[in-house]
Amino acid sequence: MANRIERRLDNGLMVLIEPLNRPAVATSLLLPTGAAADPLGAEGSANLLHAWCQRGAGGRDTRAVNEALENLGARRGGGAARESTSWTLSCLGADWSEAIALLADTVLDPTLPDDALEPCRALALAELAGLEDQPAQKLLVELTRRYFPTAFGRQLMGTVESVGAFSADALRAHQRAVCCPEGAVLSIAGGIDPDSALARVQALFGDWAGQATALPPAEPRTEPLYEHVEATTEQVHLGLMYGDVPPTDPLRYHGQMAVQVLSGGMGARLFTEVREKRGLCYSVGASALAVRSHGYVVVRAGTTTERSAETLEVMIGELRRLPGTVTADEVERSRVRLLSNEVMNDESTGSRAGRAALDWLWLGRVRSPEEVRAGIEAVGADSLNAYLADHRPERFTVATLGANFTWPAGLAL
Amino acid sequence: MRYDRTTLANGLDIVGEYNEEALSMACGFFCRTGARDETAAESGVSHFLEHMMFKGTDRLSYDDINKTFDAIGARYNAFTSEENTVYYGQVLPEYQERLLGLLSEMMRPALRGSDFDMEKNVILEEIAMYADQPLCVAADHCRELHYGGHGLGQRVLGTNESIKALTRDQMADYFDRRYASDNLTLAFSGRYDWDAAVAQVAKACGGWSPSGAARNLASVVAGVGATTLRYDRFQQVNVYLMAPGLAAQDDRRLTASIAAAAIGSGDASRLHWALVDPGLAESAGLYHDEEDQNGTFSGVLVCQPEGVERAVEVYKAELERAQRDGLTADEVKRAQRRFGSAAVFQAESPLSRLVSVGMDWVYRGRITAIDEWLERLRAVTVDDCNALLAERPFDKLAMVSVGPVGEPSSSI
Repeated sequence: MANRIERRLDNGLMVLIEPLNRPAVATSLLLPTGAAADPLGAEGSANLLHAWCQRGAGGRDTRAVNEALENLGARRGGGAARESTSWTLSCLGADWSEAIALLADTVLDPTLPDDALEPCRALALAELAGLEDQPAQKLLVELTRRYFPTAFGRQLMGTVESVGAFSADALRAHQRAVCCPEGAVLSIAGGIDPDSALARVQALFGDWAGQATALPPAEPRTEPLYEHVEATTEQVHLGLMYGDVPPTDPLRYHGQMAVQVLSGGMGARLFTEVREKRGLCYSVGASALAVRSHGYVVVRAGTTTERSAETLEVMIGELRRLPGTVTADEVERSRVRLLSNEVMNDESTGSRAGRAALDWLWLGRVRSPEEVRAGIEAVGADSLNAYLADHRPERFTVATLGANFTWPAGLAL
Repeated sequence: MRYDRTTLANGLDIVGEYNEEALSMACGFFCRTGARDETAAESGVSHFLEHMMFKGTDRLSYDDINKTFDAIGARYNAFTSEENTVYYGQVLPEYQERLLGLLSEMMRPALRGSDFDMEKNVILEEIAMYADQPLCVAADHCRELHYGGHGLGQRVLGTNESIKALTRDQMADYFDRRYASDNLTLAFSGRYDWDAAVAQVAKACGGWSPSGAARNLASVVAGVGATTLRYDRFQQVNVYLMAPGLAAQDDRRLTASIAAAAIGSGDASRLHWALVDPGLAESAGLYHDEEDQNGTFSGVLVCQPEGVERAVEVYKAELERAQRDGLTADEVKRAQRRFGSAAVFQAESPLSRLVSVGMDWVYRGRITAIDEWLERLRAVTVDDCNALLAERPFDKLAMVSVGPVGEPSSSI
């Protein structure tokens, strides 16, 4: 197998190519801009532009582009996130050269036709209405908004007001301002010849120019907060967030390991204490999340009203109990889980391409499997307890959503 | 790729698709049982039992089981459908023996009364969780309308009432009938050690008894009609549609899947152009699902309340146009390419391959290699698709809409 390529084009676009002996090819283009860059009053711009860009490009209309992609068996995807916007493409190696040209048109030369804006707006409004019918997702939105009081906490889809007020010209101007090669990463993994792939990328993306303005700082909340959102639902949804080290910190593996101890599998603490021992809910779990400058943990559960106060109490109790109590057995299980996950993720071409792109965006380099392995292996029970003494789960932002929830008596934030 | 197969004296089938390129292995028990095999009084027992299988054996507690899965770094879970219950794990090859030992041991659970009572709460919570998801509500009601009194229309989770009334003894009796050696298949995929696995399974599972478990395979008389269930607490209208399709054992099932995809999967399908592209619906799709000696076309439509009448009209008009005028060769070709690429990506993971291998065996008693499957996919012609559509499957349409529309009298 040929070697991998890491090359920065003159316009600033970073190109990562990992050749693999398999038929599939996954491509991931990450732009360092997202909802946090949406203009004030035009929240949801990045999300809407992602949809509008798929309404014809390179001089061809929507139907011609979509049919051309499907004729190649290629799938285009991605979306706008808080500080990044992704475009993905999956296809077979033999079709990649043609398919990547269609993706390049979509990103660099979208038609953005007036007559397609209204359907895009209608779909964005429908998505917003749909969110009201998904209480678990709605809770996450409400929680994030409170955890990041800045532009980072925005609802990605915007609001009914902002989506309703979008103008075609302002959106086009925003697209020109943010869709730039400087700081962007194009990551390709799978069955292709890396040298010809690089030449193809150079030909298609080499003339792209521009530099996007920097994003505002993330600035998460530092003081505890609790708010309830009343909703007519069968279950009450409970969620909380707290800060951890950013992905750029070498201690990130300790943070990951702590989340494994809490929620790495069915034998981890949250599932055992909340579901297995007490039968309080069906779903409970913690996940590590991050933006470049900040890592954070989200813990969530959904349960009916009569069990909800106890569920929240047990959840918070487990978080507070964590420092100083992690055992060697727990670390060993978490270590094997994380190491196994690394290998199993590597089986997926899409995961390889996506991971390399994200590494580059966050770290300015791609971690080798050896580096990741060494990082995980370096965590022991003592070092994890010491880490947790310095990085206690605390100063929670808590949000609840549902009907008739009462905060547990005696639980202080 | 290499294909392995053996059967123990007690009827337990063991099958595998070995892939030396894989970095991991996966295995799982496929029990030929689900909601369709329950009596009305047992409604929900298959799925509740699936939870109880993780609660321990005479020797192991739930904590032992969970911590063992975690200690070997497994990706593991289980799922229950209308006709299959599957327990699976994926690990690095060095953990095969421990994974297989654990899964085999779990298949003979203790079903302790105290665990049963505790887990009942979790099942009721799961029912409440799905009751908050309008598409699931619509699907449940549509299945009841389409299948009439047939077992395939029974709810996998059961209802609050059936779960509250269910006893531990009813579950134990169901277990004895259904989890017999001749009603189970053990499947492997990825980079596994076949000889070691067979020796281990013979020892661990050779003492299980067969039961001659049968299944009622009476044909479905497809229910036709449209119902609107008014739920003021939902914002959007979720519509679920069903029509008769082709069985898992029918050679034309791939033709049905391709036809469904040309009509309703992806950004170049007819439903996309008619409904999503102009912004009339947030999503609109059509799929084909195969079942044991039965099959269905299933459709989904999500839209805003003010546009639902128009969207349903357009959706139905597209189904009618497809069965009246047929599809074009280009449309069929695109659907084939879409399936072909997706299958190649899917085959990268031993876990997703495991489900294909296991289901292939359970339904058809054989394993189809990816290359053979791709050849069969490419062999389907536009004429095949149009002959199938000319049988007018969508004339027998069942449709249920759930959302803030309709007569207050139909409110729930």
